[in-house]
Amino acid sequence: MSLWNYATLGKNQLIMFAFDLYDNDGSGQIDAREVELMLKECYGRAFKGNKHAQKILEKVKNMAAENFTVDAFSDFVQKHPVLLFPAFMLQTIIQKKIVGEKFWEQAANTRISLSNGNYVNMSQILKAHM
Amino acid sequence: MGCIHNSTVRNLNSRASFHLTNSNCEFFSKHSDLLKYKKDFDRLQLDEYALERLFTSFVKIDQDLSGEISTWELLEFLHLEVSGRSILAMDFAKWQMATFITKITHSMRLRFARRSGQSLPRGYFEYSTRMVQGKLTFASL
Repeated sequence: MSLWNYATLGKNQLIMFAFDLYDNDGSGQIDAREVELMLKECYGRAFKGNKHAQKILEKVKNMAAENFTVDAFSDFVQKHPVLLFPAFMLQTIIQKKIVGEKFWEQAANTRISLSNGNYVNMSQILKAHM
Repeated sequence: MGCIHNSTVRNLNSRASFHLTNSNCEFFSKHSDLLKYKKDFDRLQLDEYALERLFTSFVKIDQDLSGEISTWELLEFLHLEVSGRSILAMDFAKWQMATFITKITHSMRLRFARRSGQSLPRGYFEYSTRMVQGKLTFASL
């Protein structure tokens, strides 16, 4: 189920998924410190040595007073895809190595039809189709 | 991560090979312990053929046949980095050996070749290992 949830996300849905992971209180907003944490966790130990990650960190720190709404976060990631690059990479690797990309492409299409193209998390999909 | 009954995993492993087609796949008759998830699978429109393919991958990843996939097993299967650039090159046998030796000696030194072509010159990464709460951990030296 977890695998299906992650491997069937489209690009925009993956951004929303990442947002959801860090929006702990479900307020629909995450602050710059949480985005910084996301960046660090996404890159792991490679974070310190990765110049792209460091550049993004600088930009996020400059926005320290701001909160990211879903739309602002989505815009930020569209402009700076480096923020979630490891997450996108991991998804591609998983799709290639587990069953195969075609399988997941088909499953992603199913997900789109189940959710009418919107980002809907796993439990909502399961509840909606009970 | 996911958890599947051990007997199901062993059953699949005990077979030398199996052939699948859309028409003769009877996933739930072979893995009756997974019937309780059938409703969820149906909601995600995963048919028995798809489930058989996913299950085959599951068994490949679950190297210790525990019926669960640990983070390490998944990373190992995907050949991904664990806690340092060089660890991605470490295969499962080496990992088990390192765990075994560390359990006995409490600590050991590991050295991995660093390939050239990255920002660092050819050389080695060195780590010391120790067991923390039953798990092998690395500290770079």
